[in-house]
Amino acid sequence: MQITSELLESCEANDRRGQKRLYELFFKMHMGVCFSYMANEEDARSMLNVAFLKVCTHIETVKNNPQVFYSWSRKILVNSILDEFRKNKRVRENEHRKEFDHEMEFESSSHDNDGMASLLEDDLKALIAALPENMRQAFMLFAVEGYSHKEICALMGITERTSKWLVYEARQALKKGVEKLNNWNNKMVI
Amino acid sequence: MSQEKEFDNAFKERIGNMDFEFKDAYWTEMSALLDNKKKKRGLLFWWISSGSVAAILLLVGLVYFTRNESQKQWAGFVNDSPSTEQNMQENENFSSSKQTLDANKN
Repeated sequence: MQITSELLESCEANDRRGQKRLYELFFKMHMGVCFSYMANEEDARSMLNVAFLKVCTHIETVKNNPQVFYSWSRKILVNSILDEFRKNKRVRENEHRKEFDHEMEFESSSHDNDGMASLLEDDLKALIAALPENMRQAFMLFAVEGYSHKEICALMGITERTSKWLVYEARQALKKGVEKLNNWNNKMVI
Repeated sequence: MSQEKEFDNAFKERIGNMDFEFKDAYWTEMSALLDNKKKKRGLLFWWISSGSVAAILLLVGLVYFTRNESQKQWAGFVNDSPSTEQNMQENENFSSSKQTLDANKN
């Protein structure tokens, strides 16, 4: 199944079968990302639905350009997620704040990156879900969406320094988790 | 730094390939949301149209009444002097008849 102009046009014409097909594709495309922001499947799905409503209302803007549907709908999704976070804004600044500049110097960088590829999917999901909300959000925006710290501080309403710290802490937590879980799984196999 | 970038990319790749099972029940939920949105739109249309009809009626009514009012004022201005004289005469007649009434009572 692929996104075609015909499919998008049928959605614009409110054809339910077309909309269902598009929804299924949309789900497959973005559920992983959405889950990684929201940390559980239920919240991720309701967020996906909010974004899909917006996609359906503005479908005419991409109906002649089906190849941009992926990036366009991803942007809609991420913006919807950020809106949601802003609505339920919790105390973020100074929450777990540390003098991270010093810590960074002492941190070893010996973790190998192959561990990420061999990690079980359920373990990965659990690791992501275990991150504090603001860390998860900042790390997703930085590592997956490719935003700069400057952009992230504008999007999340935090300082650049906090953004750097959140991304750094999230990465460290993930690295440690990957290492631990892989070790544990290897032992179980032996 | 490049090792961090490597880690981030490995993470990004795993996120992109994450597998979630799609269930038809999900679509049932979503289609209900789409229906709801259409209904809301219908309601919005109804509100806007009835609102504009009310606004037009109000405007027409306002114009009509202010015009009537100004016509009355104009008429009052033209007939001003004779009508006051007439009123004074009527008042005199009234007070004289009242006086006779009072005298009769006594």
